[in-house]
Amino acid sequence: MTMNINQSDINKKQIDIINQQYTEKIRESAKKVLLEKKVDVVIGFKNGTEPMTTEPCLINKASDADKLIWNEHCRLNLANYVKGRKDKAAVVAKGCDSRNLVNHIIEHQIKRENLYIIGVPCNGMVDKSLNLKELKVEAESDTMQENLDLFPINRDMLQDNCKTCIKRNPVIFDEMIAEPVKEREWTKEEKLKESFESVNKIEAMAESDRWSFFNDMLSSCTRCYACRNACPLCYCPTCFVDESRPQWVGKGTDLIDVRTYHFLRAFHCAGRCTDCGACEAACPMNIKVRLFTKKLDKECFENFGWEAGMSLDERPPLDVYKVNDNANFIR
Amino acid sequence: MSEFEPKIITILCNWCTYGAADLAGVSRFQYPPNIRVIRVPCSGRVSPKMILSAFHNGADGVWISGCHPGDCHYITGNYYARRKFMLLKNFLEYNGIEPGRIHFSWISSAEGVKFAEVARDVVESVRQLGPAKYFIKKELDDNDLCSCLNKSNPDNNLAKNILEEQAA
Ligand code: SF4
Ligand code: SF4
Ligand code: SF4
Repeated sequence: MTMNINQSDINKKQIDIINQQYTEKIRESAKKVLLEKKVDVVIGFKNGTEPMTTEPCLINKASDADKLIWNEHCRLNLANYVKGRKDKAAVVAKGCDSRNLVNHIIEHQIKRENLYIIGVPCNGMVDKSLNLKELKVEAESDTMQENLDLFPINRDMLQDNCKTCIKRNPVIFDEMIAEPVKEREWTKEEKLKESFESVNKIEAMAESDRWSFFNDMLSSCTRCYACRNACPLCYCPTCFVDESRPQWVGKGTDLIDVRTYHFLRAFHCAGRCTDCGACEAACPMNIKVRLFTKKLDKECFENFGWEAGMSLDERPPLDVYKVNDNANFIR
Repeated sequence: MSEFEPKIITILCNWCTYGAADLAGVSRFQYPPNIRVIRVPCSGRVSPKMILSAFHNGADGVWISGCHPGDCHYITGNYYARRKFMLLKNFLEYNGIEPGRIHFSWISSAEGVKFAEVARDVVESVRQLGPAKYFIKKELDDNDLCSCLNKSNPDNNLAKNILEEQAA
């Protein structure tokens, strides 16, 4: 097994330096594009109110640029905050954010010329549940910087999707704030085996075990919809969960309704999901909702050779067809 | 013999398989009475919401059928549908639904014989599996089944849902 990226090689000191450099460069670029009136708004991250959290941050004055930061807790996907915008926006984008920006462009949610992409070569994000649980950080720890001292990123601490990331450097950008990081090269076989390991395990279960596995997994879901709201792909004016005439899915936490919600949410992401992990990062119950979307990612990769958000010139797999597509399941 | 008679929700495209069902009827071909037909304009109109809704409302199996590739009334609707159906089938199975609960076919309006044949096979395959186990919200009432497109039946959830959505 060849691993080109070994996260444990990046020690804590390096991470601190990288974060600081990135933060400075992001602030500099934000100031510049706002002063030059290239954009009306810059969308980046600021420190959250709790240790080891960040929040999306929209600024429209150059004097606010110093609010912006970068660190290994920028788990959300900022492409989520540009959909439908009519003004010109600069977005701080790591690899996965940029892939969702590509999605938005090919789905006509935003125009490329209205975007200024500040590209961030990504070193991966720390899993939120892991670091809270294992490092037992006191809630009253006062500054982020102190907390950051605790975090060398090693591979075990990365969130799951970052471990199998296929594009850490932005796909499209107007400027890069640093030299690109090394990408992992996957062969198709490696990817099917390693990247989809979690899916493969579930596929190997018996049917009834799969049914109860997901029931267990979703038993704590409160239907808060944080997973939907964090996802850049969800922009329907009326989401199917809010449709009342007809009502396809009940509103409560009845397990069948919960299963239906997750089934349909994932299905709507088929061929579009970039595995950015924002849905899981947003879930207050730490539910592994990517186990659903990842299955559809696998189907699209296996059957259509498709990876979402990698090119502006290709249509998504459910927007095209081939005359000789697989038909062996049809009588 | 078990007493179990499966209830199958069948979604047919208006231009081909619905015609085939008609032809099968007119030609007096025998097929089991377990299927309840819902007519849609095109197999491309079928949404996963409908499939789950069928299971919610007590269907034991679902069968979707449209025109052969190349014969779609809307030229390419069934080509797009085919990709969605593959993902849908595999994703249902990933969620735990047994492979024999959901069926797909292409049947032209001249293929009354094939219609009766596939209907028999679908019913048999669902009968083998026994009553539906997953995604059930309420037992399907026999009244619901007399005519799935009977608008006047207020209990007819699936048909009502589809009609309401088409009206919206
Ligand atoms: S998925 Fe890739 S680009 Fe996105 S946060 Fe993880 S490592 Fe970075
Ligand atoms: S479904 Fe989750 S992983 Fe996929 S694009 Fe949406 S937020 Fe990202
Ligand atoms: S974020 Fe978590 S708890 Fe909320 S709806 Fe999604 S899976 Fe359920």
